[in-house]
Amino acid sequence: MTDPYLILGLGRDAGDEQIRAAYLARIRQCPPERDRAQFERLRAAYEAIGTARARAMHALFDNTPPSVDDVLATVLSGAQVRRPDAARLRAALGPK
Amino acid sequence: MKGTPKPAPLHAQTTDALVTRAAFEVSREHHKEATELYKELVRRERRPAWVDALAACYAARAQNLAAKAMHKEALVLWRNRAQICAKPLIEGAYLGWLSAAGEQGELLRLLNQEQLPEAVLAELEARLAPVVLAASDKALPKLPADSALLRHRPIVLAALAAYQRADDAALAEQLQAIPYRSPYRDLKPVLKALALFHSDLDAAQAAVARLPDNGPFEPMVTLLRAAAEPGAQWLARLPGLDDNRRQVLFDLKGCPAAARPLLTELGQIVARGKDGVTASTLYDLLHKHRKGLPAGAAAALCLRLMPRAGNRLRQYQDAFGVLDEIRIEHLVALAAEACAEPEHAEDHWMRMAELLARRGGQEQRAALIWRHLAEGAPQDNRDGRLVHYLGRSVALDPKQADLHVQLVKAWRMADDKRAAEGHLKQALALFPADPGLLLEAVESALAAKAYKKAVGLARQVLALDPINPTVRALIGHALLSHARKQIKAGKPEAARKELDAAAEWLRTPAEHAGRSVLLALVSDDAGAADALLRAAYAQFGGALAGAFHLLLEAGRCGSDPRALLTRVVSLPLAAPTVEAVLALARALDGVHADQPLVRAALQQLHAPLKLAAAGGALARDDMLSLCESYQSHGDKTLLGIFATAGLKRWPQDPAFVYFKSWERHGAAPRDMGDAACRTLLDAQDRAGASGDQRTVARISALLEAAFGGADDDDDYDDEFGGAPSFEERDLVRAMVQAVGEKAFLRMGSEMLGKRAFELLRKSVGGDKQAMIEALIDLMAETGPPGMPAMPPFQPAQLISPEPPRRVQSSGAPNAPTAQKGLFDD
Repeated sequence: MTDPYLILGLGRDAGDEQIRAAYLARIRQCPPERDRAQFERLRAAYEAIGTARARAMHALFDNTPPSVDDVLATVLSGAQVRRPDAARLRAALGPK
Repeated sequence: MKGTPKPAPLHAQTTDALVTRAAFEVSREHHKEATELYKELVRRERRPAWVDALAACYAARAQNLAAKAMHKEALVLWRNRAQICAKPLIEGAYLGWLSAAGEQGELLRLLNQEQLPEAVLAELEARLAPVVLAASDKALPKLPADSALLRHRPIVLAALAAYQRADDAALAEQLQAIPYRSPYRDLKPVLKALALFHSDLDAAQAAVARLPDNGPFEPMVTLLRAAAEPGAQWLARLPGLDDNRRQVLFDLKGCPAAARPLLTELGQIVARGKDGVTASTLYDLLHKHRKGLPAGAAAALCLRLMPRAGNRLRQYQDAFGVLDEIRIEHLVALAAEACAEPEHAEDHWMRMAELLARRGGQEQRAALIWRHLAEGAPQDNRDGRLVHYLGRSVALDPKQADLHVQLVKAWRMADDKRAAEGHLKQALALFPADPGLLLEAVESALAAKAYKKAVGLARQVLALDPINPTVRALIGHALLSHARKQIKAGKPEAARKELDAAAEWLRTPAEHAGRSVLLALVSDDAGAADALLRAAYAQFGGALAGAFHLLLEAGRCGSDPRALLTRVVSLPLAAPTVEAVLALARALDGVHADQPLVRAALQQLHAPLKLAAAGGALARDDMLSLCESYQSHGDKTLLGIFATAGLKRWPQDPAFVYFKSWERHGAAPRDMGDAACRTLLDAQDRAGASGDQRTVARISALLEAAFGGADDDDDYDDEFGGAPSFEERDLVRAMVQAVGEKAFLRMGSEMLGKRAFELLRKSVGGDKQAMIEALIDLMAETGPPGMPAMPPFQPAQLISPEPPRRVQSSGAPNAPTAQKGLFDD
C-alpha cells in the first residue's frame, strides 16, 4: 500500500489530531519488534501527512501511483465480512 | 547421432536384454520406458517379479501425474495397473483421485455395489461427503439405507444452519455431535475456521493454516486459504475459482456486490504477474468499472494514476467532469517528472504557481511549488534560479524560517552581499530567535569584521542551542584570524585582546595550541614565549606535525618560519619515524589555510621527508596515501620524491606511475609526449588487470586532459550536436579537394559575407592555408552552404496543453563565483 491515508485508515479530510491519534493507535498494535517493515510504513505515512504543510506538499508532489492494495483498500473501505447464503455455502462445500 | 543403428524393436530383443534395460530405466526413474519394457516381458511370461515391477511402474507414473493435478490421467494408469497386473483397484490414493477428478458417479457406484473393507468404506464415504452435503434433499444420490452419510447428514445441516444464524454456541454443539468416525469428520475443522472469520481474523488464519491438504473438502479449504491471505494476494486466486466459490470469497472479504466485477477482472490482471499491473491497466479497469466504486473513489484513483497512465485527460474529463486549468497544469507537471523531463515539469509547475497566486487564498500552495522548484535548481545558484525561486516562495509564505536561511546563503553564493544582508535583516525581524538565521547573522558580522556584534549574536545562538559547535568554531576561528592580521600589521596589543576574547570559544587542543603560538608571537617575555611554543608544539603532536603547525602559523602571521621553529627544535630535523610522517599527512588533510602558505610550510620539511621516502619503512598503501595528500596540496616536489621512491620499491606499479606522470605533466597534460602517454596506457592496462579501478579512472582523466577532452567551459552537449567530429571535417576536406581551394575560399566568402570573411582573413594573418583550415572548422560545425540546418530539439509533448513561456528571473545576478570564506589568511 502506498497511500499514507489508507495506511493510517483515514479519510483525506483528516486533521493533525486525528492523524496523530490514528498513528499512535496503529504503532501500539504494530510495534517495531513485531513487524519492522509495517512499523516503518506507518512512520513514513505519518511523516508524509502529519502536519498541514506536509499534507499540502503530499497533495502537490506525491507522484506515487496507487497500487493494487490501494485500489482494494478503497473498494473494501468500511467492508464487513458477510455470511454466504446457505445454498451458496453448501455448493461451495461440495465437490470441485 | 548419424550412423548409430536404431535399437531393435522390443519383440526382437532378448529377454535378458529387456530385463537389464528395464532395471536400468527404473533406476533412472524413467517409468514410461520401463513400463513398455515390462509389458513386453509380461507378454512373454507372466513372471510374478515382472508383473510386480510393471505394477510399480504404473503406480509411480500415476503418482507423478496426480502430483501435477492430472488426476484423470493418473486414474487411467491406475486402472491399467489393476487390469493388466491384477492389482486391487481401490487402494492407495485411488479414491482421492476419483474425487479430485470429479468422478463422483464412480465413487457412488463403488459404494453401492462393492463389498468393501471397513477402512476403504470409511474413506469412500468421506470422499462422498461433499457430494451428499451439497445435494438437495430431492436430488440426494442413491445410497445404502444405513449409510452414515445419510444418518449424520441432518447434524451437519443443523451445524450449517447455526452458522447462518451466527449462533456460535449452537454451531459448536452440532459440530461436537458429529461422531468421530463420521464421513463428515473432515468438515468440523473447516466450519470452525469459517466461523472464526466473523470474530477473530488472526485465529481464523491460524486455523486455516492447520487444515490438512487433499482432504474431501479441499475446494473449500482452498477458498478459505485465499480468504486468509493478507493484502491483495487473494485476488490472484480468483481466476482459479468457479463463480459460486468466488462469490463466497467476496462475502468473506466483505466486498460490496457492485465492486465484484471490478475485483474479478483485477484478479485476472494480478494473476498474470507484476508486469501486468501497470498504471494504464489499472486506470482503464477503474474507468470501466467506475460505477461499482464508492462515490468519488474512481475519480480520485484515476486522477492519481493519470500522470503515469499516458494521455487519458480527455477520457477522464468525459467520465468525471472537466478539470480546471490549475489541475491540468498540476497533472502535466507530475507526468513530466514521472518521465524524467525536469525542464518540461518546471514550466508547468511555474505556470501552476502563477495561476494559484492569481487565484487568491492559495499562497501557501504556490509558495510550496516555488520551494519545490528551488530544490530542483542548481544549488550553487550558477544560473540564478535558486535565489529567484526561493525569493518567490518566501514572498508568498514568509513563515518558512528555513527557507529564509537558504535564501541568505544563496545570495551569498551569488556574491550579492547587499541582497543577503537585506534579506537577513527582514528575516530576523520575523524570526528573531531562529538559530539558523542568527548563525547567518554571525557570519555576516564576521565578514564585516564586526567582531563584537558577532560575539553578541553568537551568545544568542548559544542561549537557544547551548551545544552548537558551529557557532563556537566560527567565533573562535574568526578571532584567531583577526589576531593574525593584527600581528601581521604590527599591532601586538590589539592581537592580545583578540586572543583573550578567543579563549572562551576554542574547544580542541589544536585550537588552543594555535592560540598559544600567536600569544608567543606577541609576548614581550621571550622565556614565557618559548614555553608557550614548546607547549603548542607538543599539543600539535610534536615531530613533523608539530613543526608543520608552527611553520604554518608563522607564515600566516608574516613571521620568519625557520626562526620560530628553531626556538623549539634543533635543525636540521632527523629522519622521521613512519608514525611522524603519517601524522603530518593527517595534519595536512585537516588544515584549512591558503595552499601557498601550506606549501611554504611543507617546503621547510622536504629534507626530513626525503629521508623518510628513501628509508623504505613506509608500506605501499601509506606511500600512496602520502602521494594523494601531496598531490591534493599541490606539492609537486614531495609528490615526485615519494612517487619515485615508490617506483623504486615497486617498479611498474600503475599507481606510482600515475603519480609520477602527474607530477611531471599534471600542470600541462597536453604537452605530454607519446612515450609518456604510452607509459600511462600500459599502466592503465596493468591497473585494470589487477582490479585497481581507481587508478584506471585517474589515468583515464589524465589522458583525457592530455588528448584535449571537452573543457568545463565549453558549451558543447552531445544531446544538441556535440563538437565537430573528425568525420564532419573529413567530409568538408573532401569537398575542398573536389572543388579546389580557390572555389572553396569563394564559397566561404559567400557564406560569411564580405566583412566577416575579411575579419577572419586578418585573424589568421592572411595565411591562405590557415584560412582554409578555419573555414573547414566553421563548415564542419554549421554544415557547408546549401545543406539544411538541424531541426531544433523538441521535448516530448505529454498531454495537449502547450508548455508556458519560461518565467524570466528579474534582478538575478550573473553566474556567481565560489562562495568566499570568512577567513582569508
